[in-house]
Amino acid sequence: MAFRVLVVDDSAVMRQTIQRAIDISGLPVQHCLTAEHGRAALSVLKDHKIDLMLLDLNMPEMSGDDLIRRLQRDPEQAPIPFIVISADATAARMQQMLDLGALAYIPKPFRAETLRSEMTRALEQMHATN
Amino acid sequence: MPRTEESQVLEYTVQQVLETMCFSEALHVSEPLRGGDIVGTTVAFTGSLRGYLRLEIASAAASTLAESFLGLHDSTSDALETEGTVQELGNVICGRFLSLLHPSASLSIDSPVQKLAAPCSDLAWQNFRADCGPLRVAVVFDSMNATNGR
Repeated sequence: MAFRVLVVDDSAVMRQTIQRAIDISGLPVQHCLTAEHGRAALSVLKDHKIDLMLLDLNMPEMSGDDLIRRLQRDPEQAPIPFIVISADATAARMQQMLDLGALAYIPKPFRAETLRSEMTRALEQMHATN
Repeated sequence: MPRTEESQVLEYTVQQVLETMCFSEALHVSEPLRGGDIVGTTVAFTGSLRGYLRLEIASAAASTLAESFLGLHDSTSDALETEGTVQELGNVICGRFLSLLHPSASLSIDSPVQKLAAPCSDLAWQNFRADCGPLRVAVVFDSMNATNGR
């Protein structure tokens, strides 16, 4: 089964690096789309079915946590599994995002291997529940 | 003069971030970054801690770090990629440093900008020599009590 991934991060170089890490990961990712903040992610989600989001938190326009709350309030929106990738590794923020349903929380800086193993775990978890 | 916990955590953070993101080793040194072109970024933070982090990297070193971060083995980084990498390094150093020093803090980290929030000479710089060139970092807390977030 191939997955569609959406990377949401306001840093263009971080989006590029995450995409490259996914490309070389060997994971069955069919499409890797990107958005520069939460509002842009909403536009992408209108037109594309996404299986997994990789989500930064502190972004202009709409933060990662605001995006998740907005999606969770929408009764027509099916839940989208997400992994947080953020420079903010404070205990409260990590717990807040896990409480919102994050499958994993990857603090920056991270290695490509960490992203690969957390995505593998998330995809296996999604596969098991489908 | 003995180094503060803040200074030691910042040194550890800079070294960890450069090693993880750019595969670059950086030594804490006493001599300041002198002359030449630099690429810099300022990252403001608010919440239970308020202030900003300033990162400045010699231009040639910044390009090398960008090429390493972006995996550009057969090409050089352009100005946008170099600036973007320095900004992301600033963002990650800031978030990691504050999370290590004040794990119970509640933070909001702004998007990095190029401009400086205060005159350079007023900052308490920590200097580093990475294997690709020199860089320096300073953190300024607005609040008189920077331990609020503990």
